[in-house]
Amino acid sequence: MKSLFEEYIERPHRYDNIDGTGEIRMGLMILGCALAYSLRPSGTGPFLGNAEVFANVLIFFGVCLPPLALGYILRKFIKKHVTWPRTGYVAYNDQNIDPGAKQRLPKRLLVIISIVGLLVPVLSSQGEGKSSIPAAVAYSVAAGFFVVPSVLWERNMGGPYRWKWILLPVTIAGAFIIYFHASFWEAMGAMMWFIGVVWLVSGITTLLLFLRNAQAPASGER
Amino acid sequence: MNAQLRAISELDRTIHEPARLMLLALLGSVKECDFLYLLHETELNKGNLSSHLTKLEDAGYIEIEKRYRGKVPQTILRLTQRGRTAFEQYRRSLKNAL
Repeated sequence: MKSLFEEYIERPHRYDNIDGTGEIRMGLMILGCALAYSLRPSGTGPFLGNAEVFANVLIFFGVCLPPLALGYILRKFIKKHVTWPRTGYVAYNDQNIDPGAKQRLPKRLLVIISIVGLLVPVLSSQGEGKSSIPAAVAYSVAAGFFVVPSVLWERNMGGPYRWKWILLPVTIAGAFIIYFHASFWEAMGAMMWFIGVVWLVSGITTLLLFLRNAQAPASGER
Repeated sequence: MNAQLRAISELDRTIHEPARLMLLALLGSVKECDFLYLLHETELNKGNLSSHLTKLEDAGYIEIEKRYRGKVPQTILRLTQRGRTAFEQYRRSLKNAL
């Protein structure tokens, strides 16, 4: 259980997504990646890893960057003209008064790198059709790859919006439906589209609720 | 008097008041914020918030800067190094005492 200190220390970070802009930006980023994935040369499995790697990277960034830039600009615009006039301005820094945070960071990074390191060979071998791992296991691992970040995000950023727990069953149900109706690499692309749309819709809903519930901009001193 | 009781009696009283403790906890995790943000997060009224901020400024724990965003006056607040040190010391003392 979190102490009162930890609860208060985390409040500004939850406040960062009070208007849903964090989810909108993330949704646009995932949709950009999904678009890049969909436009990959047909017949190839993973997007990278063939002889045309540089062309693929260029296409990847060319397709991914505009949604990323759009997310960044949109977020800045909403913060400046919608959020800050209503509920106040905050600038964040990397300094954290929680003395344990810096010590925990390398361990967390190590865990993430280990998980990704385990996932990549599993997913690659499954996609190339030479895996000794049962398809159900590979599909579960791939679904986890999308579901786990959603859970972590919800845990850290859900904050005042309790309805966001619904994103988790929606994400899991979507993952099941997609994997039962598509081949492995098709399913990967479809999952990216699906998760991107879920996050974007969640972000837009949060923004609309924020606009409805937050007081009109203060006219006096802030 | 045992060490634990002494630790309680030595707590920084400027920080120990609940509203000011809340303000320092919020200010400690951001680079800077404005008056409206603290008003919204703490749910104190303007008079109370202003009074607590003045006490923290007098103790040298926060700095207050008045500036304009467009034509709207804005009060920016940030924790000083002294305030950060005092808050960390307070956390340690309270933890030891309890």
